[in-house]
Amino acid sequence: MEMRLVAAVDDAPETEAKEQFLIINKAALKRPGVILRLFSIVVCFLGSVLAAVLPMVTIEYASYSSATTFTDARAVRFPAEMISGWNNLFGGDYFGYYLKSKYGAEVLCTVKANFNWVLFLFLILALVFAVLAFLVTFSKKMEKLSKLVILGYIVCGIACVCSPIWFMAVNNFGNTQAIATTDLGHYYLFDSLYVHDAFGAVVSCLVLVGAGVVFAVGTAKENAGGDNRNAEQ
Amino acid sequence: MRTYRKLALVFVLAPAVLLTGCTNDFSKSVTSLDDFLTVADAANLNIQSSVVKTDSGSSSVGGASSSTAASSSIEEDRPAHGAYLYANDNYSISNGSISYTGYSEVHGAETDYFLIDLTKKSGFVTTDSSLLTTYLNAAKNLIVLDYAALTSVYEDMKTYVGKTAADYDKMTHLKLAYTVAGDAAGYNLSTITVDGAIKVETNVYLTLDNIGGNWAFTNYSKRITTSETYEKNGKILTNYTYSVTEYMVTVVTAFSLLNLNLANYSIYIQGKTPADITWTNGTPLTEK
Repeated sequence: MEMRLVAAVDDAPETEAKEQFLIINKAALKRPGVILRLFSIVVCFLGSVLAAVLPMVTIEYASYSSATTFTDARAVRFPAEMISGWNNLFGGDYFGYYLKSKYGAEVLCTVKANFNWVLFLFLILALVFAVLAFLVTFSKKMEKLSKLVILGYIVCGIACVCSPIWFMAVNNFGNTQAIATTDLGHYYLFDSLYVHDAFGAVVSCLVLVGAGVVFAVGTAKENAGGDNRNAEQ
Repeated sequence: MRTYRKLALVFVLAPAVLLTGCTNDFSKSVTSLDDFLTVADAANLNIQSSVVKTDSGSSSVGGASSSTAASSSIEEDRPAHGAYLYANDNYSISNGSISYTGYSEVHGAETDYFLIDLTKKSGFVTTDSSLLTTYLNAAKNLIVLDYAALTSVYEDMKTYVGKTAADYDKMTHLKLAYTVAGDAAGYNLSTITVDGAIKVETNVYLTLDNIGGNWAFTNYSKRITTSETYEKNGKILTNYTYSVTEYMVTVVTAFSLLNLNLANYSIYIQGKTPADITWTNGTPLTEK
């Protein structure tokens, strides 16, 4: 019996010992783990599209600190301004916010949004992880990268929920600094400015995190009872 | 197959619908005169106050020394001042050496009028309201002039509609944009002109508020920054000078009452001497 097993191992073809890259077959497409992993790619694409389409940033005014100098009436006067995903991502359209000068004038400023390279990079990264998810799904060789895919999806989701930070950074507003008139760069105050997530940021974050969860479940199903992809080849 | 087509349609159309339907469209570039709101005249508004502030100064970047800002008036604009109107024709005015508050108080059938010099912290009380009218008219006049100045700025902005930087001599940048958000609106004109080593950046912000159904100018800020680059002792230096003019106008639906604490002021009775005054028990004021 022992001799027979040893003989079987010795007779195994060399190609099986060598891990193969990107093997797609119909049998694999029927496995729940593979289906879930592929579905995570669709969910990732959806999350990226939603991040570019849904409102991502809301600009409001609120009395949230004792240092607030804007009047409540002024804050109420300005309705919540939602920045579209497209304008948040690619810029080109105008948006408005209040500036308060050293002497107290509260001026409604209109500026053109800049290209948001930070969020753009994260969304490109999400697409890269989607491609990686595809490769991991059909390559046993890359299976060890499955955790990286999960992490990547979630990080990109968190990047979406951080949109207000990127938006303020690339458009250079919201940084309350000194208001000395000698300081040419920081003459205006931004206090009471309340820039936070619009629903699109939360939705796209949840969708991308959801992609990570779906991929994780798919991975768990694939690995349950051992990876049998080589057996199917 | 039909199911797939429907799904594809949903995936394509849904984002498009969301793109157009879920965001505000407050801010735009001014493209025509229709983008300018109709603003009420000063006569149709209750303008409670108007305060004008100016500032200018300079700083040097790259050099060893830098000067600090010095408050001063700007030749192209009027000096800093403030005028406040309250209910019952009470007022306060601060313009150059003039700094007065006019205040009235009703006692039964009689009204006492106080005119207080805020600089000297003293004033008089009288029953003759005409003694307060000079500064009341001055305060009203200041407010009207300030509002007219803002109207002039607004009209001037309209001349930039449809123009580009190329239409102006030495201008390299021109932006005229506006935001209308709820009961607030703001127009922003930015220009940059370059003449050799001298660059002049001008930013004009004019903010309007809708008060009682009327659009009115409420805040204005104009900042001119001039930078001049030159070489000195082999070093490239840039000298910045700037000037700031700001108007803060308060428009209300009804004038509020002036709350004045007279405890900090010495008040005398206009046209009377202590000998003319007796207490209610008949004791003259000159006696204890």
